[in-house]
Amino acid sequence: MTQPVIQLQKVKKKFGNKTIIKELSFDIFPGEVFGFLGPNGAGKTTTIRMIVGLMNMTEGDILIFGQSIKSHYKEAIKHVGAIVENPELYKHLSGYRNLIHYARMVRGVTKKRIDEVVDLVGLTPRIHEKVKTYSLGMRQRLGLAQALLHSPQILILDEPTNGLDPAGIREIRQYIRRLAAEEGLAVIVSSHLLSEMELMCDRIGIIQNGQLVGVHSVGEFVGEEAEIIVRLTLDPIDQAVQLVKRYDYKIIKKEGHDLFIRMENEAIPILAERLIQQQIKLYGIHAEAKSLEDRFLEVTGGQDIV
Amino acid sequence: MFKFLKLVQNENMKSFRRFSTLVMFIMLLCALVFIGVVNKHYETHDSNKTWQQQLQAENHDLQKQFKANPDEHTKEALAINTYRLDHALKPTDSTSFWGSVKDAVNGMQFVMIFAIIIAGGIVSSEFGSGTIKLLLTRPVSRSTILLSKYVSTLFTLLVFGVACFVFSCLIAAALFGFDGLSSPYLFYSEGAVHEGSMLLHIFGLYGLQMVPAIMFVTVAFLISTVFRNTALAIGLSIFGLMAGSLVLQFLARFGWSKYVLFANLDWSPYFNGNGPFQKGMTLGFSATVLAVYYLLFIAFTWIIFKKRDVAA
Repeated sequence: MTQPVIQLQKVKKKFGNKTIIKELSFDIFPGEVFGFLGPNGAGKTTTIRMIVGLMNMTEGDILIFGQSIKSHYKEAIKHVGAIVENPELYKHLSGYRNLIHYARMVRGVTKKRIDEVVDLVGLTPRIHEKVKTYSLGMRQRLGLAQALLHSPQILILDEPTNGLDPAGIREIRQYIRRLAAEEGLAVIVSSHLLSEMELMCDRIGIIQNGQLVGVHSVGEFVGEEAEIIVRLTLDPIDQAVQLVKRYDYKIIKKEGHDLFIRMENEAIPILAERLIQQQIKLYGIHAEAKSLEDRFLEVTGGQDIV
Repeated sequence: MFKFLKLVQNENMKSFRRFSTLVMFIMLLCALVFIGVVNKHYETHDSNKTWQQQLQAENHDLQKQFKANPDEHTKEALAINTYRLDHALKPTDSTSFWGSVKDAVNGMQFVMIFAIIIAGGIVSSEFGSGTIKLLLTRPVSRSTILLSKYVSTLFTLLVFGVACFVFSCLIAAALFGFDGLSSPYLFYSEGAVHEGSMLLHIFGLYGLQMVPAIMFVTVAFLISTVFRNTALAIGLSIFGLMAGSLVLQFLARFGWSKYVLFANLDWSPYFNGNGPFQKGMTLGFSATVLAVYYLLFIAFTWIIFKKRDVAA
């Protein structure tokens, strides 16, 4: 594989005696969208803050293109565009002046580039209005615009779809995927919208109590198991339960006329046929694809429930 | 360097494009107009006498006073009055162009308050609004960002000072005309009366006001950076500005009070011949004490800002 763009090397963060981040190590590669997942308070935002240099790490190091964020901050950070938590911009200035503000802080951002980015995030009609008149979604777009202004190779987005309507979420998602695929950007996304992460990310790192519980590629992460859960809507249900038990299918739970069964994909038509032969009315078969959310809960705390 | 100027430009943009800043300029203008109008209103006072007659009467009193208690001050006042009568130089009272402009130097009290308000918010407001996160994740070091903010604060103070001067000139011209524009500033030194430039004299007065202004602005900037609390920064600094002289009166009986910050802010006694706050204090002494305070404030501000974790 290619050289990683970001390397976390045994990063540790302590607040007083409390260790918030315990020896966090992972690499991020160009062209991938890396999802950062974890329950509240797990240390996601702290980690992101350390990557962008807002917080000092107690031990370890973070390298961006091989440059340490500790000793070569300016060289390292110039490759990074970021939104940390909400995109907080200067409300009393227009969107355009906000962008001019950030353009002045780096070398080589022309007026043309500003217009280009504004166009890209679809703010052209209202860019000269004050930010305080913007909706949350528009602020999110403006935040994205300021992060992209200097054409960074790494994009760090904390909750990028927060406050966007479904169309906006879809747009941002497609846009992030395009940046990664076409321009080879490495994107780090953290989000509490797990289903969103599933659609957006290539790899997902799960962090819990300041430790990386696992890094999975989305495909393997979600579809790891051959068996899936199938929901059958049946009548009469009791007769169906007897039949299902006889053939040794694993019943997960029964809910009214719904029966949840864990089985292999290939076994679905066979079971359906058997049910129909027994004069059981089959109203619906629904394959419950195991979502990232289920897996996530399983990995982070599912054990407690079982 | 070019990049640094752009950073200062950014900070200026953020300060001057606030509605509250515009309000400050309007308030300053209103205050100066008020001072001018009050002076204009009392213009007619005692006008049945010419200024020569008034000065002669004043000299008569001063001579009596000098006989009873011969001091340097009375002697100077007498000499200057006599010089005026001899050379037909009308005094620059509050109803002349220069007199009015000179009165308006008091507007610097407002300027100080306004500059403190801006200095007190320039760092903490970025923390308050969360914009600090986007500001600091740029290829610019934290010290440079802080310096750009500090330079912008001093620039704002300067702009307010210049505005105070320009407004007062316009108001003086409108209310009193350009009467006595060429009259010189008279001062007494080494036993003789000398003529100086009135404009330079007024600039000198502004300069004296700038000394405490810069110190208070720096204190507000310090508190704003260290506590990230705008209200605290503005409140404490303005309290210091108001209560400084009171504290000083209380401390005057202690010899060490000459090392107190407030005791060294007013440099006018070193120029107008009034005695200093404590015996043995000189311009050099005050300048040194202030320089030490200043460097401590600046060092503390920078160290805190550089080390701090940003959790806003």
